[in-house]
Amino acid sequence: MWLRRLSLGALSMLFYGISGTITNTVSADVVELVVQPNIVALADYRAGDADKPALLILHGFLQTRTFSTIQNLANTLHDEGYTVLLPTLSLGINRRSKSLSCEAVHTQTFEEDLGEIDRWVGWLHEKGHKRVIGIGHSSGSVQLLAYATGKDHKQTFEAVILLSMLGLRPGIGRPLSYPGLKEYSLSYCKRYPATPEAFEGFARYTRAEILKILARLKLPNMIVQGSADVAMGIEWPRLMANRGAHVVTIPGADHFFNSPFEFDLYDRVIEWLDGK
Amino acid sequence: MQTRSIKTYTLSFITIIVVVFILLGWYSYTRYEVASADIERLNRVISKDEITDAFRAAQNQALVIARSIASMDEAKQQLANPAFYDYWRDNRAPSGGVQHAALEAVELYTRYGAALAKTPGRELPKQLHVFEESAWLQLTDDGVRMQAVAPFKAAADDPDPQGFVGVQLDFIAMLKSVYNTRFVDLNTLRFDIGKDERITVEQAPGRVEYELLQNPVIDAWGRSTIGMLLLFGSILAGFSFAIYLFMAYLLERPLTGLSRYIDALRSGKREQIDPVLGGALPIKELSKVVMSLEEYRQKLSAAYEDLDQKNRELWTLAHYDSLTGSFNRRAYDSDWINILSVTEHRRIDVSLLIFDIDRFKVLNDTYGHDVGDRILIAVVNDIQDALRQGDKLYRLGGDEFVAVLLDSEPKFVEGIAARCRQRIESRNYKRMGIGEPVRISIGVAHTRATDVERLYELQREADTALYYAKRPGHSKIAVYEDSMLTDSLSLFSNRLAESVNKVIEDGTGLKLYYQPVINVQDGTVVYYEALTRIEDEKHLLEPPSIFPIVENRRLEVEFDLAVISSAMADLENGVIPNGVGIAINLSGTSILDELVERKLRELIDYNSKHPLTLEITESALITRLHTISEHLRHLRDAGFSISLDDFGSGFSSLRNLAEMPVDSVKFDISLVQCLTGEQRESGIIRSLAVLIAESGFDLIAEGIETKEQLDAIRALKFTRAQGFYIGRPEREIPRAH
Repeated sequence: MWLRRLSLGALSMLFYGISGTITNTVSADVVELVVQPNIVALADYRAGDADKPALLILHGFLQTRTFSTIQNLANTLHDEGYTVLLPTLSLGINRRSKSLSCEAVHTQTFEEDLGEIDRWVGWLHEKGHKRVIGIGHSSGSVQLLAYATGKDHKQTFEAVILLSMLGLRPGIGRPLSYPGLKEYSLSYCKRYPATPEAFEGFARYTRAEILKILARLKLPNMIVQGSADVAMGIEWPRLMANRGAHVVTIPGADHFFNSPFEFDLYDRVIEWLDGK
Repeated sequence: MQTRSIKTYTLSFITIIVVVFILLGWYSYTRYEVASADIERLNRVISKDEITDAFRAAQNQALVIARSIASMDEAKQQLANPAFYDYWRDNRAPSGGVQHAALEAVELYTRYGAALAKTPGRELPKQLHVFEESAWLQLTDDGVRMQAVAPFKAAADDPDPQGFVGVQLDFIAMLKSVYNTRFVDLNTLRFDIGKDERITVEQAPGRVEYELLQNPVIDAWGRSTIGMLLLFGSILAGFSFAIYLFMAYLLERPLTGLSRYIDALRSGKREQIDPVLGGALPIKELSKVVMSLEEYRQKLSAAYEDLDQKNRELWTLAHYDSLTGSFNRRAYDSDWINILSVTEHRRIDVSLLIFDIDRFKVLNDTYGHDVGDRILIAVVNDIQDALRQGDKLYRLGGDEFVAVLLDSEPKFVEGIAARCRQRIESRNYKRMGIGEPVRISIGVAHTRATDVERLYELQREADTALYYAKRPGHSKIAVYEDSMLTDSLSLFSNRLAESVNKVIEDGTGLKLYYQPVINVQDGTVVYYEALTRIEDEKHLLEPPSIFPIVENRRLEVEFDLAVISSAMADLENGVIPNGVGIAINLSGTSILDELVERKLRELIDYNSKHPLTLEITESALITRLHTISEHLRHLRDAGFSISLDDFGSGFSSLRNLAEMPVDSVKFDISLVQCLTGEQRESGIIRSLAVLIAESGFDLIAEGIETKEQLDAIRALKFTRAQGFYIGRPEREIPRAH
């Protein structure tokens, strides 16, 4: 099985590497969804086997659906027959298609992001996918965790796979000469101009808060961490496991599961999904 | 044709080359400038296309920037939610799209062209008037700016833009960054754009002026041309310098040496050939000229040396006495001039010594000229031995010599004179066959004066001193004193010479004084001896003053003729009493003279009344005994009695006396005085007197000044006597006699 995944993954990588985004646009449907007035969000949708759950794969902080970690994972899972939906959070930008700079003005709140996730889950339900499993990467994992444990949403997941789970590290905001705007530091962004509202939603999900929320997570879950991803400390996987999470560690892998550890990731995810 | 040095021609040649090069260089440079101008015109035409392309490139780049911003999600975000637009425009927009240093301002516009900001950045308009992608140029306070607008489109095929992005850029900076011009100097762009006017990029090339860049090709060509000219100039300068050195080495140096050599020859310097010409010369013809010249120089030098030798010989002959080897009169005159110049204005002792051999004429006549010459040589040798090294001895003539001693004290000079005399007198002359002593008289004069006249006087003073030295009974060395001057007037003064001359000319001033000669037995006057005196206005000159100058000037014949004439006149005038004779003194020279003989024959007419006696001195007779004797015999035959005067003062032997055709012998006063002296001397003289008297001669004693002397001679065989005791010389004879 491992060899089969490897061969499929390699073919997928080869094909992706040659064709790039064209592959996505050809093989995937770009789905538009009005998430706010005048704001249309885009997502890649690839239908799979009907008997398999649909997978909503969410990108990380300020990224788009084209981020390689989730894009390759999506390709692999779609090849395994899973329906995949890769939305790009609008971050308040109509038809956003590019990653947003740290220095850009950030006005969209954490909750508005969760609202967009909820709409996409609802869109899958409307599409006939009763079973939806959320797969998040990095801060996308945080947002899926918040969504999965939240109570204000109409939809829900059947299970969640949280890759490279982390806790955000908010800094103290520095007032700017522009009213309503401050310059913060958040995650890897040293300069993060944002409205207090937009910042506070993220700043709430610190390391401790994540562990607390994990303790409340009732859904089937799998947290995949790279052993080399030590930004949260080497005890981070154990701490999360202690909170009842199913933590899988891939030895040697970093935060992005770059080659050759991505295949381990695929194997773990597919194995876990197939076990469902 | 004017002649110039080879250096001038060389420099002229080089100058011509340099001038020609400068003209060619100037012509080349003008051609270069013309070509540069042509190329610049061509470049200006090309630059029109270049500036058009550059403007288009700038426009394209401005649109790219505007499009890149329009493609930013953030820009779309601001268009949808401009709550924080100012922040985004000022901080994010410039760095969000294609970043460019020339980008000065970004502005977002709604789909209706309205600026999102109330105050758009820089000079961007508040309201767009074009709704499509476009760009234009606008003149601002900071210069020309390009403004470009690009539309937002939700999708590439969206016909309705959602808004617009406006950007403003520094046009010149933009141009510089996007277009590397080869002809247009972008720093010199000057646009003709009015205020608030916007022109399109297509219009811009016609509204701009500019300067062309320095064309690197032209510059390189120019540098190459100038470099080539400088290189050629340097080569030419080096070549010219080499030519100069070459010419200098080949021609100028040897020719200059040749010229210098010829100048040296011309100026009389006949040294060896010039060092420059001494080595091998690179030009064959020039070398041949030098060799010919050197050959000529050697011949000339030999000729000069031969001539110098001849001159030296001639000088020697001219300045040396051939007989004695001493300097001669010419050398004396020449050296005396030098002495005058050397001693002028200097207080330096100058001493003059005049030497004169006593009775040299007698010696010469007695022993012959050969012996006389040997005496002269011996005397010169002795004097030169006595003189100091470097003192010169001159033979002025005959037996007269002069030595000039400089810087010597008078005593020292007198010592030298004494040494000279001592050497001469101590020499043994018997080897020369001379049986009598040779003596010399020396006159010395000394001065220490700076006055030339005083030096001229020195010669006269030395002559005067010599005269005193030669006087009988005086020292043979006399040093001049001023008191000598009066006494010597007779000898050397012009007045004396004039008096003698007058006597010779017409007998003026000549007075014969007559001293009686008596018969010692009876005291009667036998005859009167005519003694010469010369009267002038103040003085009466006597024989000691008269005869030296007469002898010195060889005037014996003329003077004796005058005396004879005067005696004839006195006889004619009856000065001499009848029956009383007259004795006339004659020199040896006169005895031999035909005129004198003729004159005497005129006198013979008086012989009947006045027996005539001719007195001739022993020394005069002895010098030319045979010749004179022959003439005296003729005169005896004619009727004259001959008396030998001053017997005993000379050195004639008795044998000679026997041969002399004389009738009487007059003993010299020195012998007469001896008669009353010591017994031995008087005895000899008495015996001599007796001997002579018994031989048939009448004996006459002169200088009888006392009765004792008269008695003494009377007791002897003397027949006649003369002297002051008997009678002094008188002009007029007392009639009592």
